[in-house]
Amino acid sequence: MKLGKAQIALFGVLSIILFLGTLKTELIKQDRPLAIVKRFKPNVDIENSLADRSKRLDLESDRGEQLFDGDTLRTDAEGYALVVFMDKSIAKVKPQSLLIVRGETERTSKRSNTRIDLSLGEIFLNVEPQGNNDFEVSTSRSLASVKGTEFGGNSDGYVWVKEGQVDVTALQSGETISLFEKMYAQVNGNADEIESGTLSDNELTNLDDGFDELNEELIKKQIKLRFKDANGQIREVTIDYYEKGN
Amino acid sequence: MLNWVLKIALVCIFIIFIPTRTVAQFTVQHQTPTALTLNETNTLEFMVPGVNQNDIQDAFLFYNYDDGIGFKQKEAFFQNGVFTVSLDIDEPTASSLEYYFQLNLRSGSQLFFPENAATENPVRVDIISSEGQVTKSLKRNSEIDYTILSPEQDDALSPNDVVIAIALFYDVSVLDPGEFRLFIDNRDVTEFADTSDYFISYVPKDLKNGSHTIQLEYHTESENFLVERWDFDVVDPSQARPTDFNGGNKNRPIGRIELGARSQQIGGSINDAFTARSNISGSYGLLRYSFNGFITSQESNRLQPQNRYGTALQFGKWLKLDAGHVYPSISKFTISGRRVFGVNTQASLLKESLNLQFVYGEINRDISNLYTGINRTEITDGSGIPVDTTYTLGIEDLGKGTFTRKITAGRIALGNERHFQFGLHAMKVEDDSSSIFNVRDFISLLEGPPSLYSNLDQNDYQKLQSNPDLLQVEGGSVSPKGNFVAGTSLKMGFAQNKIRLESEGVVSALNNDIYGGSLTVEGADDLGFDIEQKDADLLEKLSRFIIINENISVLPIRVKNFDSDSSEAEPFFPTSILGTNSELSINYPSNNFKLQYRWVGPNFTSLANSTVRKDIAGFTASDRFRLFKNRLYVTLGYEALEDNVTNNKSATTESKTYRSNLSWYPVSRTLPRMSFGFRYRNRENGVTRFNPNVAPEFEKAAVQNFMIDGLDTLITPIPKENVTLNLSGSVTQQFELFEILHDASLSLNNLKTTDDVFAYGDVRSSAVSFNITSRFNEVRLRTQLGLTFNNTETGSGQTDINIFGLYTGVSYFLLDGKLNLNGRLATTSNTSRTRALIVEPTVDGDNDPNNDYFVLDSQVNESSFNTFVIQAGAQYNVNTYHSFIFDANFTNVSGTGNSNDSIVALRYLFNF
Repeated sequence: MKLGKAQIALFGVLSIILFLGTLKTELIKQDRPLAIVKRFKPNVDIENSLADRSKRLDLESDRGEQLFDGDTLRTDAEGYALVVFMDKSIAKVKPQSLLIVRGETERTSKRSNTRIDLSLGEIFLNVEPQGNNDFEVSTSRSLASVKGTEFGGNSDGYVWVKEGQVDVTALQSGETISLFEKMYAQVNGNADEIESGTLSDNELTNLDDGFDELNEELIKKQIKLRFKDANGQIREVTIDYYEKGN
Repeated sequence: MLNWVLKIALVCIFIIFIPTRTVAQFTVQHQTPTALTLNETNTLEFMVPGVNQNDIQDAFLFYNYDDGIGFKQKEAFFQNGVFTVSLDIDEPTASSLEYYFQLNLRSGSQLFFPENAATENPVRVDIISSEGQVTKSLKRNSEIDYTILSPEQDDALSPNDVVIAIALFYDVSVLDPGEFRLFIDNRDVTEFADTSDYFISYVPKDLKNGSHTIQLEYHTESENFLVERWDFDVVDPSQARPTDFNGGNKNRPIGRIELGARSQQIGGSINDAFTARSNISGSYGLLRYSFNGFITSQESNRLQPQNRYGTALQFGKWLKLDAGHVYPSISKFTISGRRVFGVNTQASLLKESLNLQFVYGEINRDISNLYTGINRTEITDGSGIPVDTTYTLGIEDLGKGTFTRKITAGRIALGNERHFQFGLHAMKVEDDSSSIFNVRDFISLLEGPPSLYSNLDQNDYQKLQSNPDLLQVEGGSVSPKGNFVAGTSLKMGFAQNKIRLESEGVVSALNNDIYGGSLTVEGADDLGFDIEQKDADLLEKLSRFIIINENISVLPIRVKNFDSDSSEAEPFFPTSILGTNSELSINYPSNNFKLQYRWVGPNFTSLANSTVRKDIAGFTASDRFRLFKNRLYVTLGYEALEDNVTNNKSATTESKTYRSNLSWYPVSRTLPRMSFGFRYRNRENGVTRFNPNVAPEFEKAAVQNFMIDGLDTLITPIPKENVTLNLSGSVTQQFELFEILHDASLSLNNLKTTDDVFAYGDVRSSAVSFNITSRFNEVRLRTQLGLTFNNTETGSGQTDINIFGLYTGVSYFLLDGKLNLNGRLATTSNTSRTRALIVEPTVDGDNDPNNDYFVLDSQVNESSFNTFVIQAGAQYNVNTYHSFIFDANFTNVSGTGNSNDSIVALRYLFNF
């Protein structure tokens, strides 16, 4: 089969569009990451095979590491990571987890689509309730779609909600249920059934356990101090001081 | 006759002056700050090595903003050998502060800083905005949207968690080409940041604990825009303490109670002193309250109150009530921070359009006269025969009394001062003449204890009774005074208060002796003129404001045909009792301009504010502008003043002052902060130095001055023509050496007055002070080393004083900060050489005063002494609430007036 000129032209245009589209994606990727690793405990690895990027984060030099579309974040048995997305949503990643961040953002507006593919381990998310943004967490069995909530999930299709609402879909059957505060859902191994129920406070506390590993909540207070400055004069200043919360 | 009086007076002045300088054992040391910060509490320290609590009566800092007409005052507190004054720089338009320190000793002498003519040459320091406020305000660009990912406003992060990340959203097609710039604490860190068109991140490596400011700007070719500015804190979580469950009680009062005991050996005698100090404050809804008190066992009825206490209540912004020992300010011409024992109430009603203030109390409390008895002295002629007898009532050393001086003052102002306000104010200050037993003549003495005159015989008694004024009182009898000041004020603000006009006009009256009350018809007759009964009645009615009699400083009555049968009085208005001050200020972000006009008559008096300069009129203009992002401050000033405003003197002294100051305050502490000032003043009264009766080489030293008027040679006022050049500089530099952070500060001040018409009018003064404070990184240790050099020569060699001072200090924290050990060692060496100024007759036995001239006495009186002070202290904080402070102080004075003094003090503090 010989290609006609029109077909060649069409192919050419499509190729250019495809190229430009790819280029656009690359440019956006260069412009702005999807998220940053704001805080972590060793060891945390970042990989992106397409971008030929693979590194173990160093506490000294890699704070604020940027995550782009397709980047994989892996924590080892001791590793924790706190990831902040462009819409200020936060993902707390427990040890022995592996996730891939995917998504796209627009240059001119804050609209973004973000998906976390959770292949291994457990995460807890605090998703900012922002307008039209889509935020999803997928596993091999489930897809959790959220719009402003605090919830957790693991790679085995277990999703639990601390606050807000999460829609959980079994990927094989397409069954979707809505979870609300203090509810859980478990998608089975075939990804075609969802079991859901409510959680007691104790169960919720147990599920929360471990995610505060990277928290350093400090309470700001004030005190007035007098000190001698460079000129040898004493000044009275109000100093903020911090107390660890109970 | 007048000439001899003048000569005697001059000699007396120098005789009095010389011993005062030589006897003074103390010198004030002070490190002048490079700058003071607006809207912050700046505390100034003054050290007086060797002085102890027993020597001190009180101490004040006198200060004003931008060449104000008078000085406000604030009491300085003495602790651990240092006087401290906390000063809130809350005058939003102020660009400079002038101040001097005055220490009143119980011996009656006074110490000043600056030592030489403190009121004329006060310390002048620039006022700068705090770093957080110097940033130039930028416009925002609505086309740029952003999300701050980290850190958020007021986040508190550990040093290892600081990640700055901002996502940017904008349409590049509608935004002018430019670039984003990231600043931390005003330092541009863009080149170190990871930046792309839509995302900026930066991980600072060296942020110290404390508050930090991030600012993101968008710079185009034509303009810079502010994207966002926010603050966050870096803290070390390991130093955070657990919260308790009481922290949230906002209504719980907070405060401090301090109990102290001091044992001191001074001048060989031991005495103990106990003090208690408290300060409690809190709020309940809109009501804010505070109580403060200080009680000492050294309270003495020979002094003004040492025990001081007061309370302050404030309800919203509408009502304020201060009671006890209060420090009211009504206006610059009336009362401005003077201590009053009484009440000070203020109300601001109807959205601040009706403002009322009322002050009532005592400025001075009464101190009784301590009379010793009548000294009877017989005056004999040349052959030893008594020809007369004098009777003098003696007074113990420091035994002179003081009347209770009461003050009643009020102000009413209509309108908000930010827009337009017109106010009326009045103040009455009057001594209570019955508050103490005060002998004025023999009749009044008879009201006192007979023991005071028991040594008189019958003849003396009868003689004094028939002529009571023969009795003199040693040093003169104290006279009760009365004072009334009333005036108006006008305050206006334009262009969002950036342009302000403030004006005050007052009239005052002073009565130097209110004994006897208002002038009566009979009293006027005794004085040799007539007033009608209706006038006497009017004076009686006016006595509720001020008693008007013959002792009033300016009698508003002009007597016509004095000492004649037709003499009569007519009222007139004396302008010499007026005072007015107007100020126009224009304050834009980079420029502060101020124009001031003042006119104060020679007889204006406020007994509640003695620092208002009298008999002066003229303009003061100053402009201060900021350059290079508020790093560089330039001040230019000009002042033209003259005295003799009511033309009652033979000559008018004009004074012109040019002033400039250049200050550099970089944000980065790796760069030095510098300030350099220049002041040039020319003062002259237009009288030419001329005395044909002395040799030309002594003409400038002549006692008398003459002028030729036609064929007559007339005596003129003393000529004045001198030039003063004052240069000052201050440099502060922070640097790190041997892993120790040092703050070094060097201040220089040089003053030179050259008198062109008087041989002994020159003044040379130079002062250098150096201070280095070192903070160690590894241990919580801070050391301080300071040196001061001061050399002052006045009167072209009449006095030459050299002072060298050295002090070192150390402060060390241990036991996790619970225990602080500190010490200070200071030594001064003071040498003074004085020569009396004497009148040298040109020919021995020549009684013609016209050819007299001054010379320096050949005898040089040299006095030197050294002081050595060592102080050691410790503070142990048992817990949050309880602390103990221990201080020990040893002072050695060698040389003139040598002594060894020691003080040991223990204080307990309860904070709640």
